[in-house]
Amino acid sequence: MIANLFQWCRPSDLRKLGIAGMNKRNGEFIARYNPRALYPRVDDKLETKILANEFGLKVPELYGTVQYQSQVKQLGQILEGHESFVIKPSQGSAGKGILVILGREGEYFLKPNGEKLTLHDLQRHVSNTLSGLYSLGGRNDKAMIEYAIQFSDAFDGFSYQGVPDVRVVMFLGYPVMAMMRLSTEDSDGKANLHQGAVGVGIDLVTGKARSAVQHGRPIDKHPDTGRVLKELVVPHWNELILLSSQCYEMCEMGYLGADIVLDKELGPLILELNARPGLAIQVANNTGLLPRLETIQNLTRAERIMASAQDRVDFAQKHFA
Amino acid sequence: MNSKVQLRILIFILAAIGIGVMLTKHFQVGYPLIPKQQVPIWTIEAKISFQATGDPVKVSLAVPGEQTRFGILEETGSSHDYGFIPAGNNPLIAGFYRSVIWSKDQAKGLQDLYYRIDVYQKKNLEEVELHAPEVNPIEKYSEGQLGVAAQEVIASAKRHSADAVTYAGQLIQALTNQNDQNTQTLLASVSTDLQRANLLNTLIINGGYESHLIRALLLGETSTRQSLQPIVFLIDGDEHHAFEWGTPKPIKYENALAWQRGGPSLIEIEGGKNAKVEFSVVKQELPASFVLEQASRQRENSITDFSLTSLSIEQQDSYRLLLTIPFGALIVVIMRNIIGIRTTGTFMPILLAMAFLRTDLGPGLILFVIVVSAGLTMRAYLSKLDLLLVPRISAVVVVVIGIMVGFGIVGGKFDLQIMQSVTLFPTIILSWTVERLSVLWEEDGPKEVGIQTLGSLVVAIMAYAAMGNPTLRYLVFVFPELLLVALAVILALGQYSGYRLSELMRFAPLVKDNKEGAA
Repeated sequence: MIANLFQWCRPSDLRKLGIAGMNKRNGEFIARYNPRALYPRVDDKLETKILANEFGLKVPELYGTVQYQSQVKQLGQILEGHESFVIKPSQGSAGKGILVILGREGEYFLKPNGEKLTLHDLQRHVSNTLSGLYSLGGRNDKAMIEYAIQFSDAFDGFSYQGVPDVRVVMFLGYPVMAMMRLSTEDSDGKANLHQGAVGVGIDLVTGKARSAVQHGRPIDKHPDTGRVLKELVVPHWNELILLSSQCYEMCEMGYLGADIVLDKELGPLILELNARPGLAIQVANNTGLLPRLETIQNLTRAERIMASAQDRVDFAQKHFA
Repeated sequence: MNSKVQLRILIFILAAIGIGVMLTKHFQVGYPLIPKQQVPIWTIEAKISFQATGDPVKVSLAVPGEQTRFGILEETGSSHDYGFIPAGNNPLIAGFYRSVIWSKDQAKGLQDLYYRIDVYQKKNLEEVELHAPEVNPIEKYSEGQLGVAAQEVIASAKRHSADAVTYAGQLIQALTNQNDQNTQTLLASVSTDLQRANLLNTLIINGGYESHLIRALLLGETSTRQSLQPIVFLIDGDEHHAFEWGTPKPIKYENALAWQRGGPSLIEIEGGKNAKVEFSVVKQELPASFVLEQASRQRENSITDFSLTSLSIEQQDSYRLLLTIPFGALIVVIMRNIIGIRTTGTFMPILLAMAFLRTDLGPGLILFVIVVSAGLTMRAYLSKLDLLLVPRISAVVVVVIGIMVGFGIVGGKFDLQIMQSVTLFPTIILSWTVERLSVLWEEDGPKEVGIQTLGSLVVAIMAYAAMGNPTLRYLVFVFPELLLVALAVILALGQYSGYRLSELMRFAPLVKDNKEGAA
């Protein structure tokens, strides 16, 4: 971090590489292409899920929701028949308030670390969620109970705890860049790059790793597991990238980030959407976003509107390889 | 694109209005651009004493009007039990003979009347139009022996002069020549300075030029018992020249306040005798903005009627602070969007800066560190108790206020200066800061709290420096239209889509990598 202080570059260098800065992203892309009124579609995970179901896009199945404190008692009925599940706040941030249950033992629920919880514990967790313990600014919230993802073993050894996911940034529905976010000990199992997670740039055509960074500097191996990051390949890549591209029709946000997870059996599932995807993806890919964004801006309206999600993926794979 | 053009036009209009109004006020009204500029003002008191005879009394005193070099701040006439008619602002006579009148139905014995006027020296000279009233040539010098002598002096001066100025010069020279027969005749009935000046004035008028008599007060340092000096004021088209008895050349008076201009006499009195007028002058220096404000109110100038200086001192104080906030906001915009420093919330740095303005920077920073670390420690403990967010943060606020009250008490006991600067306002701001940081801690973790707190402090200190700057405070208070300029700059910065300074560092590894890759 300190070493970074002594390393500077010129604005002209960044322009040459087509790096998008914060001001550019906020002013010319987010403010212009993401209508304020549509934000709830991505900020509220429940709304995202309902929309995705309407549009037939794959998401972790919703078992049920709890909206009011009076419904907390019915939690047991919702959970009936589900061995494993996840309870999460619909407007939570940074992974707070997510409770994963991987199995049952009699009347106990088992957390991944083996800890046993009673139904009463779960009810208290849901009750806390409703009163806003885990949501941004303490707003009242809803609790969602959904399918617990069975992580694909393709990423064994690439992640230290936590959920490896693929972030695809799309502009007007065209995938422009993708990266895999791997949690580390440094990031405390979280997948946020600024907290120390590893970002791996993913080739849009093959789903293979291109380059990787941690703390803003290039790395070759995962700092905790030592696996060579270049070996990383995202399976079901074409299906994954098509799924993310389809999010555009669903939420109509021009500048959008889709977080996709890979399930062992179900394949790619949309975990959540983000209307303000970060710029670190450029560092992970060692490439600037601007030339790609401009390529898409230069398309005619007809070209853009008549293109199907598959057409957009083909276009991206042809031009942004 | 259209909206960009609109924005640019808007920015241009805002900046133009702001700067335009400011410059207008500067050049037209004379508001200085530098604070604390002192303007000399003189308080002149004229004391009229006379013996009342027991009849109805009416005293009329000539008083100064608005003039080229001096402006009037305030004038009052106070005298026990007398009716007073102020001079008023008759535009026709504004620059000319003005008089105030005292009256009473009956008075006996020695009477004292006072007239007070505050005048200030104008920074920019203003031409005051002088409409000399009709002057009747004094009969005394148009017939008889005096008339003949006057005619001859006039004729001689005419022969040796080319214009008004040289004519007046010739007259003065002739009148100081004691050997001349005509001069002796003319001066025989003249004994005082005033009478001599009157004679000179009359001869100029009889010679066909325009002039009038001024009785001027020479303003210098504080003095008592000043007397008026008679000056003959020659009007030559657009040019004015002042002449004095004995000096054939026009004289420049930098400090002469024309107390009486033209008109019958300095004082006219009915129902009294032995009147005499004494002048005392007190000079003092006052802040320019205050003086100008007073002056324009006197003149009922519309531009300054809406000025903040017409508010009470207390209100002015809060507006002074309020008006600097936009400049704090400007600093925040620059630091966040151009430099790229991360701060907690958009306006927390401004609020912190305002708190620092109250406590001073050093004590403010110490207080900040103590209160914030105590508050966050408290928060860490409370979060273990699994409380809901709002009660948890409210508890933190209660604790913070407890800490500050504790400091207040300790400070009072041990006479610590730092602790005494704690007032309600900074207390609220600091509690709120702790709340914000607690929320941030919950959402983004301690590292982010560290980065943003440091960023907020840096920005707050810069905003403090700007908002506490006396020049800026003065300027924005006297020229509130500068807010429009600040708005224009902020709007212009809102368009900036280039890189932030911090990004030059953030993306540096990327550039290095690409260069190495290419090599």
